[in-house]
Amino acid sequence: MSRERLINAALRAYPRSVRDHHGSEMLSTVLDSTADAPRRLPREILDLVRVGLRSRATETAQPGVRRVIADGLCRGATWVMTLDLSTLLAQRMRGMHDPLLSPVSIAGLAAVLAVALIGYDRLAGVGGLVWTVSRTPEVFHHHPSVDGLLPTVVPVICFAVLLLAPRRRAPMPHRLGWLAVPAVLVAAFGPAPLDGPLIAVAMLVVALTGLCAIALLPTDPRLAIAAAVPAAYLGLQIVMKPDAPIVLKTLLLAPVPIVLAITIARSRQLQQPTG
Amino acid sequence: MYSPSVELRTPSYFALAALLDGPLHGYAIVRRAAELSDGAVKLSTGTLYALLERAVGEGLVVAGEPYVEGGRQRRDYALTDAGRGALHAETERLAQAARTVARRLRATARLVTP
Repeated sequence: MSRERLINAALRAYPRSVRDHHGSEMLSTVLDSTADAPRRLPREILDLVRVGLRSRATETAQPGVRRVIADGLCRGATWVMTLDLSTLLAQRMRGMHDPLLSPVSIAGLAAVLAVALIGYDRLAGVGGLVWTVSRTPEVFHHHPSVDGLLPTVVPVICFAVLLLAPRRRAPMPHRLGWLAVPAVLVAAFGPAPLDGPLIAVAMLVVALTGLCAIALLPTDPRLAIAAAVPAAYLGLQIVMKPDAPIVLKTLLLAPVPIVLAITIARSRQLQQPTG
Repeated sequence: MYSPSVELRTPSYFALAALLDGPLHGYAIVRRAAELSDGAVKLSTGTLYALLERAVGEGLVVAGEPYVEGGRQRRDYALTDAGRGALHAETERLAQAARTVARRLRATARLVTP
């Protein structure tokens, strides 16, 4: 790899705004600095990555920790809806019949997900809450206890955040491309119960997502928050089941408090002046 | 008088001092800061631009328009009056600290036993 390409790769650690403004002159400065001192290049590269990641983290934390957490929960709402939509469609594909699997209910969830994806968070929050409330009597009929309703807490919180703390982003219909995710999930897992190879692929995707979320946690915790939300949703569905392994329950429920604690601590750390 | 939010650390001090003689681009600041500090301050590019961004944000430095020189993209940075004031304040602080310690060194020199 040429020196210039290596430096440009390191510059990608910076947020786009910094790269657009200073990227070319930074490249020039590194090229000049290392022209007569090639042994200086590794230090320059490491420093670019270190400062770039810190700059990215500072930019993410700039709007405040509440905004960062709200952003993560808004994205988490999308993931929970994707999970629900895929599950409902898969169950219907397997021939299950239930009022909770009615086409109207499934279409309603798909519409709310589509609205959230395009960028109308507030509308999606209202739609999500209405959808959840409309199903609650039937869910309670299936599981006539508070435990049965416990998992609903997660989407309700996410929908409330969509409604009360929406992200400020321009509506973009191309984000509907995300609907390919539930389509693939249903195509893969819908026709038959999970079996060996498909479980392996699913576990691999989950593991890679988890690794990405952990790697990005110090610089951009929003992915980790979003990933922790569906984990908590699944965790609350099995937490009262005595036959579910305690390790699995812990793995699913622990990320939310851990990720939130790290997000708050990191945000405070980034607000410290560095001189 | 400018009141900096934090005391200038050595790299920031010499990077700002490099601009006392006039506007310079990034690499020229790196070289000038090394000269002024007798080679003690070797600014890396990442550190330099982080401190320049902060200095611009605090109004100590202004950034010029980008231009191309010898095939390299450049941008000159210039010290503002506030930046000059910050350098002056930090220099006074360092000089005061040096005077105080020098006085104590002289006062205690005869007490030191070989």
